[in-house]
Amino acid sequence: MRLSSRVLKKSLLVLTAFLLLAAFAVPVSSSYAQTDMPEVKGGEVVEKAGFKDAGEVRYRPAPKLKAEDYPRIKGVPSRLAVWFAAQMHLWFAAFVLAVPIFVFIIEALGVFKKDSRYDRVAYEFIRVSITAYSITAITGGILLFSLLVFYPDLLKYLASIFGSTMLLYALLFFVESGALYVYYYGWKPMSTGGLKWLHLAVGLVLNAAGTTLMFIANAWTTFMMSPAGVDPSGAFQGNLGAAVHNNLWNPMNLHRFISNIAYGGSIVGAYAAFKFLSSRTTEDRAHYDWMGYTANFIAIGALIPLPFAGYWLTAEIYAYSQQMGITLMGGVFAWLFIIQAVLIGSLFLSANYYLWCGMARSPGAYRYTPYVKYIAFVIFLCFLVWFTPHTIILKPAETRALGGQYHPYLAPLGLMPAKNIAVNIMVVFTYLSFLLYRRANKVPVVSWARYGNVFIVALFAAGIMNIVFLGVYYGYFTDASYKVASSIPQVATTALVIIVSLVVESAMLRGAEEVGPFQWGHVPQRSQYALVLLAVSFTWLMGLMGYVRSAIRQHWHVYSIMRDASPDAYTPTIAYAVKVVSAGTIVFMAIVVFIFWLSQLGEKA
Amino acid sequence: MKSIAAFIVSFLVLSGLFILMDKVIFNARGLSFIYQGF
Repeated sequence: MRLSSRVLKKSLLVLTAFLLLAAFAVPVSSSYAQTDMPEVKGGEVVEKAGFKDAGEVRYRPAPKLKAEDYPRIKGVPSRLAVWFAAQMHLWFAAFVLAVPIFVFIIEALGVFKKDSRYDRVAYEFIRVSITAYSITAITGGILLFSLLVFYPDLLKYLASIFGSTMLLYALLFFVESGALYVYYYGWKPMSTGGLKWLHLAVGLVLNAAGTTLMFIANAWTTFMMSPAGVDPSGAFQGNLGAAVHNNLWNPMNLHRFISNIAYGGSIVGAYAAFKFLSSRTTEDRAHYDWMGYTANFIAIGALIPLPFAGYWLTAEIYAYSQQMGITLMGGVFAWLFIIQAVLIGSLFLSANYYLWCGMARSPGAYRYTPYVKYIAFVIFLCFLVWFTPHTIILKPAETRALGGQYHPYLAPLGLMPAKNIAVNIMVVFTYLSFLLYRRANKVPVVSWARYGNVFIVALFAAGIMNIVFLGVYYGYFTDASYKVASSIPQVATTALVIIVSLVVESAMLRGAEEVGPFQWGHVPQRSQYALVLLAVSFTWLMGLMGYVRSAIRQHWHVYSIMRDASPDAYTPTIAYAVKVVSAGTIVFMAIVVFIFWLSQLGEKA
Repeated sequence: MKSIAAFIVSFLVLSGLFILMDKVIFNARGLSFIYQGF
């Protein structure tokens, strides 16, 4: 009875949020289509904005707004309200989209490996996300209300183009909710035989609906940055596919898909750390240690390709609009990229630190721990290169002392080629940490193990040489097009080093002997704080970079099409933006801790 | 000694393969959109 009442309450909550979304999406879409009077074209009366049965379909240009078109509420700063609501919604949405993806993967692994540990962890992951799901729906509702209250004309314009996708969004939200509740509450009743396969199929439907939801929302967001399917006045040309498939849609889809997985992994890792630190028994500590490791593994697995997806997105922003690209990385926002570099560096360092601490689980790890300091040195060096700025804000006296605007030796490190070299090497060395962790407790028995090791060392050396050569030669001694293009073979080199060494290593460790029993739970407590740091850094990073991506539109709602005429149509100072995002991060993390606590409460009940 | 020789041979062969890969990627028709964008 208790279970069904919980199901009912949560379902009602999500259903109410869905109905509110649908109830507002429909009138907004239709009111925009109906407001205008018919106009005469070619001697025949045609309706504007989307009535096919009344003749030729015509759409209005983007509205030219004035400051008085923006409703104000005394004491509520409109931009800040929308910013905060959007940020909260995105954080939770990223979490609840990502968790089902790897829950599905882990559940499938458990089925194939016939290991019940996977099933337990997967169930615990989904239980954490279920409360977050309700909050995602609530914050989505708050965002929609904020937009309706403060930016009604923008919403009307977007709805006139994307109205049908907004309805599809609401419908998919319904499908996702249904699938999620069947997936969660059906976990135990559908745990054996054919029902388990049916349960996996429900998980697949859940993920398909969730991912499609994200792609639809991405279309609206990227349209605001790189509008397509409209004429220069902003009038929709009638081809929805063109508006959806704008220049930045696919790069954003890829980047958000990967980063959501990394983010979800990091939040679940923080949950495991929280549980590990509060565990009272050795069994619980072992379980949550394993859970933290699995979540961290997923987070790092997704973090490794993430810089490359981000690079593609940025390259496409430059390709779409040089001005937007330069504003992004060469102008006012460049310094936020320095903060980004510091945060990404923290992510890599904490992820590596967690792996190094994790070597304590293996009795044979002493053979590899001496190498850790060298890996740490290289990663730290790359970290320093990554956050070396190119353009420095200087006083005249400092410029004179420096001999110019740029530092004579460090200036080249401020350019992208140096940063591309640094990030690729950082990724390769993070993988090396994983490789050492993996073999820490094993002794290979194959006869060619010695040459296998030699080959892996040669592969790393040749790969790093190639990464450095591509970055230095094409980055500094050829023209700009080659500079950007050289990043592709660099990424390919990194990917090859990882894949080939993984294959060779796996073959080498086939039938390997164990030095001693692997001990889950035997890690220092400080390693758990690295997991928490990972989650906080991810959250902060997403907030800051999300702000930058959105703010490069500057005084445009829809870039170059629909101007922002509100009193807030200016770029705030970096300090202000960082304060807003930091406050958001604190609120979000507080809610996440509350969710963890709720989950613990549910266990006790 | 054998290990050093194996390392040198592996390193040279792998470096050659990486350079070949760079050439192939730079000349790939499908990737020409990258150059056009800039």
